[in-house]
Amino acid sequence: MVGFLAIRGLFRHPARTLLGVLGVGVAGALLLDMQMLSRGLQASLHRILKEVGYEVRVTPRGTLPFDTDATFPDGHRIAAAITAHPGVDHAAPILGGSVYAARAGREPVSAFVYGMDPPTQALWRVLDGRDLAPSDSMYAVVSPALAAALGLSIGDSLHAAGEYTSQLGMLRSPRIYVVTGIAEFHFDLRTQRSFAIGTREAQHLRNEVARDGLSLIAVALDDQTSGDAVSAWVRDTFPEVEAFSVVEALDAVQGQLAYFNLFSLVLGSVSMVVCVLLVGTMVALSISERLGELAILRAIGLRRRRLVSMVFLESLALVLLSMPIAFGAGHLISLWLDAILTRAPSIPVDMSFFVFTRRAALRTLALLFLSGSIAGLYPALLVARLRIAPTLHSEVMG
Amino acid sequence: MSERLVSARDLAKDYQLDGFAIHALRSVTLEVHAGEFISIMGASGCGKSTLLHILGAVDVPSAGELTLFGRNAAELTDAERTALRLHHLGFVFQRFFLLPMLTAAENVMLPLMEAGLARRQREERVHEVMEYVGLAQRMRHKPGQLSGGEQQRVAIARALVNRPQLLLADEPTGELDEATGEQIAELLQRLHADGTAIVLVTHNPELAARATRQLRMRDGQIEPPMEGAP
Ligand SMILES: Nc1ncnc2c1ncn2[C@@H]1O[C@H](COP(=O)(O)OP(=O)(O)OP(=O)(O)O)[C@@H](O)[C@H]1O
Ligand SMILES: [Mg+2]
Repeated sequence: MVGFLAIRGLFRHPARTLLGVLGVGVAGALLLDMQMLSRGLQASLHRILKEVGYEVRVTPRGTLPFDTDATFPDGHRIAAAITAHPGVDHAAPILGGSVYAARAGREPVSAFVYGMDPPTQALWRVLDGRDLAPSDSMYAVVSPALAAALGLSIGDSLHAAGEYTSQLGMLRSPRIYVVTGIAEFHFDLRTQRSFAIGTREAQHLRNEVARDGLSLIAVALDDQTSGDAVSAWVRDTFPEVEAFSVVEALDAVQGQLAYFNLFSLVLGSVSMVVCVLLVGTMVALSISERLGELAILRAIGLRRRRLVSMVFLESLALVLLSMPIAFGAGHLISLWLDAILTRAPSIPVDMSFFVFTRRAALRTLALLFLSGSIAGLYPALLVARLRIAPTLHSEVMG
Repeated sequence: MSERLVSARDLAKDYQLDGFAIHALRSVTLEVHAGEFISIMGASGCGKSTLLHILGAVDVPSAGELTLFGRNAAELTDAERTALRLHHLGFVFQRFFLLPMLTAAENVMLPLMEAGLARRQREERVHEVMEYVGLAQRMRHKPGQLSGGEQQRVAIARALVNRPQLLLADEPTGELDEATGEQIAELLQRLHADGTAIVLVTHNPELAARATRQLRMRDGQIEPPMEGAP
């Protein structure tokens, strides 16, 4: 009965209800976006790490993956030892660092080199041409930004060196690679000029051959759930390195993302307050127009509790009706905001700020219902305190 | 002597308005018996509605004794008064205040829903009472699609649907033209003939004259019967 009355009550002024629902929907959309933002970067990082498919990352002591140009020595020996560990499928030695790149006889540009032997899905995805093959020691794949900067196409030669003599405007003892493909690098910033070659080749460029220096070993496991155990074993066995399972890596970056959590908390709270005020105002307004009616309903024997729950339900129903708008608009707005933010030059290409997770959806649902309940309190109080005779006196007698 | 539904002795009701006391009722003594038809007339502001509210358990007196359907009104809780209104009393007002987004039948059904009747029973009762007020054909119509007189008849059906022993009507024809008022008057008379007690407040002497007992109020009191009255 209460539900029946509440729903009919809402549709008494359809245009007004529609506007209110739209308003609550938009505020709810912002609320959803803030929930998506609060853990979005983490979720997006998680997704990338999962997609890339390595469960453990080994880095120089005190650094995160590709945090710096730092390396650790004896890389291939450590990688081989890790590969031999039970439960490890394979370990990929990777070296990354700053170098110089040019076309023959031209002014060089700074670039970032990734050294990784195939299979290489951990670091890049080929857009055009073909990926490096195991025997391709003198081939490279390049990022669109580097290809554009040097005017490179597939089949062209890329000259690269670790050092550059500025007086001569020339690379010092360059090595020459044939471009086999254009690739997007998962962890690149949007404008980053990158190219990829085999690990040993990269060690030549970075002068890490003697030391066998690596920046990263990506470890694939037979059992995806044993990441924590293997990373602990690596840390214990090789004191010169750090090791992170996917979960540990996410925890490690968590601190750097606190800024976003705070931001989303503030804006999320504001949109919740807007929801509460909108719903509260609408329902209170509609109640104050219906005091005479409500007094009569009480006079003919409807219990106070009935009318109070009817008002409460009206608030909740408003919120419920606005949910499709909140989720629909929230999704669209998040795509739009994400496109704006990820266009910023310092953001890795594959990252997203707004990620739709079950957690974000459930939190939004809960917060919207909470808003509806809070908004219902004042109108419910109005109805609970309605005194029948004086209301009849002022409203019903005309 | 028929059953005594309501018995009031020395009822008084004061309102405080901006620090002044308004004596809406001064000393009203009145009994309503089953099947009676009482009309109350009196100048505006003399306390008619106030009396009706107290008899109808939507308001409480400031002083005096009141027995409603065998219970001492002073001892009733709010919930008990609500139950009394639902099961023993019917209210009709000058303004109909039907819920505009419900159909006539749904409006009439509300007290039955509150009373917890099963769906079938509710539908039967609504049909029966709508037939009684002559609107069986208009059940699915919204109040906005009905004339003033029809709306008032729906309001009366809503008041009657729980089969009250006493119907309290406060100027039920106040907003209606003469011919439509006449239909309402006939309906009340028929209701009385079928055994429901009625207390009717009205400014219309012709309507008042149809009652079996006619009372006049002045200044918060019921006037003694005039000389020579039967
Ligand atoms: N809730 C209230 N607060 C203050 N004063 C009230 C209240 N209800 C009624 N009164 C006052 O009590 C007096 C009696 O009012 P009541 O409504 O009973 O008169 P009435 O006889 O029904 O008048 P009318 O014929 O105009 O309907 C009036 O002076 C009125 O202003
Ligand atoms: Mg009155």
